[in-house]
Order: sequence, then structure tokens, then C-alpha cells
Amino acid sequence: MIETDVLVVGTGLAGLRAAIEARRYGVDVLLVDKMEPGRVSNTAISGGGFKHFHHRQPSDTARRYVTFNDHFKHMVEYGDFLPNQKLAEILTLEANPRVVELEEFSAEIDAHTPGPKRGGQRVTLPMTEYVKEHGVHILRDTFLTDLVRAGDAVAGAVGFNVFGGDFIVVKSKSTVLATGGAGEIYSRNNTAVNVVGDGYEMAYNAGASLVDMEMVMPDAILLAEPGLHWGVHIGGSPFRMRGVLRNAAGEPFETKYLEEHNLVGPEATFSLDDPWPVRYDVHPYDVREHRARAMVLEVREGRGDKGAVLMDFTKVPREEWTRDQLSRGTLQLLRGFPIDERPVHVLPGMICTLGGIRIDENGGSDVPGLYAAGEVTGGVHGAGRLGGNALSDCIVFGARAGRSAAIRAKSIKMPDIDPAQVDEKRGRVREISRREPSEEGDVEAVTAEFKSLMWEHVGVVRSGQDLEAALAGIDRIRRENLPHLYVRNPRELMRALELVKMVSVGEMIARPALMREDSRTCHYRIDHPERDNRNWLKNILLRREDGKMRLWTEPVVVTRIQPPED
Amino acid sequence: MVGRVTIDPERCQCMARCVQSCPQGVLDWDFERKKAVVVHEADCFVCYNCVDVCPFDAIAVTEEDWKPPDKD
Repeated sequence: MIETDVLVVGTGLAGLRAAIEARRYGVDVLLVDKMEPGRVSNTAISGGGFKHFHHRQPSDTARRYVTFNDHFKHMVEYGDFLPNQKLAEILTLEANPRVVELEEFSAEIDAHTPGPKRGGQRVTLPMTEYVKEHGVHILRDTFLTDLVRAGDAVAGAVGFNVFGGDFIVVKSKSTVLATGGAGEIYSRNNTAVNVVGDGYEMAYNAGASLVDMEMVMPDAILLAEPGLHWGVHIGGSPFRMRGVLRNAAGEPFETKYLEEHNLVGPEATFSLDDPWPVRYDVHPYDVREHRARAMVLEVREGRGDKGAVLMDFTKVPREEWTRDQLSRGTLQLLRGFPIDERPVHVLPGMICTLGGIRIDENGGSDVPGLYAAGEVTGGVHGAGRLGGNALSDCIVFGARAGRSAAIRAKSIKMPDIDPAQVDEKRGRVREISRREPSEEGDVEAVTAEFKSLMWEHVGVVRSGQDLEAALAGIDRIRRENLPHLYVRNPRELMRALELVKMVSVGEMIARPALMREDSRTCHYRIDHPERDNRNWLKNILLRREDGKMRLWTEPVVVTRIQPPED
Repeated sequence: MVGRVTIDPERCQCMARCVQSCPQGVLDWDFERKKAVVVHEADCFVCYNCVDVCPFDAIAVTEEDWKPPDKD
């Protein structure tokens, strides 16, 4: 058994920042990751852009400065008035000092490169070195499966080494979950392979409340050439100057969808071939959900080509591709694709989950001893997250959660874990290892089936019928497949347990999505396409009670911006 | 751009750090031979994490132009 004052799970940006902050208080900090520390997370594969006030986005031709007020207003409006405004205020106020402070950890700020040497890693790798130098213990290759409790409070976690298979018990005074979101539960995604929603399930099983789980954010323009296995994200100048989206018949289709949302303006000036239809005061990244929705609807209505739509970059001048770092990185990723010769296939994919563990201003969850930061938390962004706010969220609330965890650790004695609890978790893991191979228990096949189910039915465009079909599918997988999953080694055991968690997270997304009968930035119900502030200006929360999922709503936390009446 | 990933089994000395540093799940671990193996090469987005972490220079990644799949 390992004992530590503060246990931090995950070595993405939030986990690293929490570990640094906790260590500043002189407590013992253990940082655990199931993979190589600092290298595999959504931060590490991101471009590494932060949004904070007095900051100009490097790729922004509109040269709009973001002030504190701008940032806050933009955030609340883009989140369709669902963000917890207390948390949003904290993010906008603290983002700037937290970003500036990153230099102390030798992190490279605003590298903003999506290419092979990803900007996000220029932040996480120096920070991983920094935490090592400052005495944070790191436990790698360790998959933590469950939190354990002492009385009401969380008192550590259990898991195993993904190569040796040794069962590991970590006892802690406070625990910070920074495990990231669950983009990987969708078959089309642009997230790191390990981001499967571990933290949601761990917190849920420990009795914490989760908020806004129905909100999953798509990115619009991912390459989808037949035979291509991963979605090359197209960003930067060509995204803004927009290759023109067309359906199989060659017709541009975007304007009619954008018009419905009052996003089309006559003063549009981004013009190459077709005029960029979006209002000049709307940043192109702010319409990506609408674009994603338009693309998926077009394919659904039978106007797609090979299950995708076409984007025509042939009229985009070469200098646009080399205008800034982000565009140059995109061009490098697109090497070999026939972007100059013909329109290429594109389709959206999920990039992050916006809901998650409900936190207070200090990163604390509903359960004593359990803190959370980063993508695993919910409520900060509401229904839509601004580009660059993900990483700002990680450092602001990472620091807050790390501080709160350290303060708690200094004020209590090491708790005692009930050994029966540990034995039960160990028994569950052992039981899976002993199963015989069977057709219905093939982890890889079931995972692929489940991911497609999520993308088809709980994806960018949803309906009551779809969501019910998804829940039925989840129930069937849970009954027919999950009890038979078999494994041959500890890595497969990790995959199997990840699948169990993914299915559970799938239900946590589908149930509130079925409950919420209106549409907001990242949640589009085709049977309830309008925003309905009279009935649905509230957050949906969920929690495990008596072994069942209970959902309820709570009014949105409003501080400075009063939501409109409808 | 796609990646071509090659592992030199002679040099691969069972650390599995490449497997654990791949954000795309391209590599897996062969528990019997105690070697890293390439399983989903098409998913490689050429981040060079595996090359960076290998202490034995056993893994190489090259950037190649994407080619459309052959028509059946």
C-alpha cells in the first residue's frame, strides 16, 4: 500500500498544475498516470492555445483583443447561458496571471502548432520535468479503477500496473481527479486514446454529482477521406477563409443552416469564391457546432458523398496556408491529400466533453476529500466552450483544486480504509482475468460497436427516438457483452475495464440528453430545435443513488449577465 | 501525411515506453515476446513520441504522403 497526502490522477495540464500547487504547500504529492507522464492527454495533442484577457489570438485576423469583460460575456453567451457564472468569472479573472506564471515552469505559451510537434506538449513536457524536480512522486503505467472511501470521504484509489498486473492501493488524505473527458467513446473523435471518461465513472461510483453531461463538443472540419483512420483537423487560416462546403451534388449548403441561427450578415467580407456568410462580429470558431450540425444533417438527408460532405480548398490561395503557424501546421498534416486538385471529404468529430463532476469555486466535489480539475469537471463552459478556454480552465481550476487538496491534507489525519472494500474491488478485477474467451466478450469488437452506437445516436444531431435506441443499445451491451469480456494480459484488462467505464459514461451522456428538450450550442435535438429558456434554463445533474442513476435539474448560477427570457 | 512505423526487434529491450507514449494507440505490447509491436499503423499522426522516449533507438517513424486506398 502506498500512502500520500495528495493523490493526483492524470498528467495532463490540470493534473500537472494541481500537483505543482499542492507541492507548494509542502505536502507529499503522488501523480499517477496510466500511460507515459505528460505525453498522452488532450492537452498534449492540442495546439496549445490559451484564451485569456489582454491577449490576441495569434491566428485571429479580426485582431480582436480579449478583455476580461469581453471574455466573460463571450463565454456565457457561447455557453448559451448555462455556464455557472461564478466559475466563469473565476476563469476569466485568473486565466491571465496563470498563463503568465507558466513561464516559471519553462512551458512554451502559445506555441499554437497542430503539426507533428504539437504545441500542447511544449507545455506538458516541461511541466512534467518541473514537477519531478520539485519532489512530486510519479507513478506511471498505473491504471486506477476505483476510488475508495473511509466513511463519507474519499480516501484514495485502487488500480493495477498495466504491464505487471500488480494490484495497487493508494491511500490519500485528498484526491484530485484530472483524468480528462470522454471523447474516445465516440467513433469519430479527435482526442487522445486514453481519454475514455475514467474520472466520470470513478466519481459517479463514489457518489459525486455530475453536471451538464449531455454537452459534448464537436469540431467541424475533420478530414474523412475513405480509408483514412484518423480525423486530420483543419484549422487556421484556411478554416477561416473557408474552403467551401458542398454536398454530393456540388451545392453549397451551409448558409441555410446558419441563417436559421441569425449568424448570416450582409457585411460579410471574408470573400474568395463564395462570400463567407457569417456575420463579421462572429468568430469563425464560434460557429463550428452549427457547421458540424449542418454537415451531419446533410449526410443524414442523403446528400452526402461516401458518408461525408466535400470541402473545396482548390480556390484557397497558397499564401493562406502559410500565413501563420496554425495554418502551416495544418498544411503539413495535409501532405499528400489532394487539396489542390479536388474537393476532399470532411466530417465532424468530437473533441471534448463539457459536462462532468460538479465543482465549487475551490475545485471541490460533493464528496469530502475529492477534488477535480480540467475536462473532467462540468459547469464551467455550459453548453459551449470557446477555443482556447480548455487549457485556461485546466490551469485556473488545476491550481485551485491543488491548493484545496493540500489544505485539507494538512488539516486531517491519514484515514483508514476498510480492507473489505479493497478486497471487493480486487475480486472484481481478478474475476475478469479468469474468464474464458467467448465471441460476445471480444473487447475490441464490443468497443468498436459501442463507439459507433454513440456516434450514430448520441452524436452531433440527436432525437428522442435516437436517444432511446442508444439507451436500449447500452443496456443490451451491458447485459450481453460486459459480463463476458475476457482478457489475456494486464493491458487487455485495462481495455476491458475502460470499456465498462465507457458504457457507463455513455449512459451518463444519453440520459440527460433525452431529458433536455431544447437545443443549445453543443446539444441539438432535431425534435426540439429551439432554445427554450422558459423551461430549460437549468442545469441537469445526475448522481448514483441506491445503485441507480438519479437525474434532477437546478437553476443556473447567474451573477452578472441576466439570460434572455426565451 | 501518414506515418510509417518500424520497430527493430533486435534493439527493442522491453521497456514499453513507446507503447505508453502513443496518443493514437498505434503500438501494442507483445507479452510473450516482450517486444513492442505495431498494430494500428493507419492511426499514426506522426508525433514522434515513441521515437523520443525509446532509450535504444529501436523505433523509427517516417512521414509519408497519404495515398488513396486501392479501388476494389
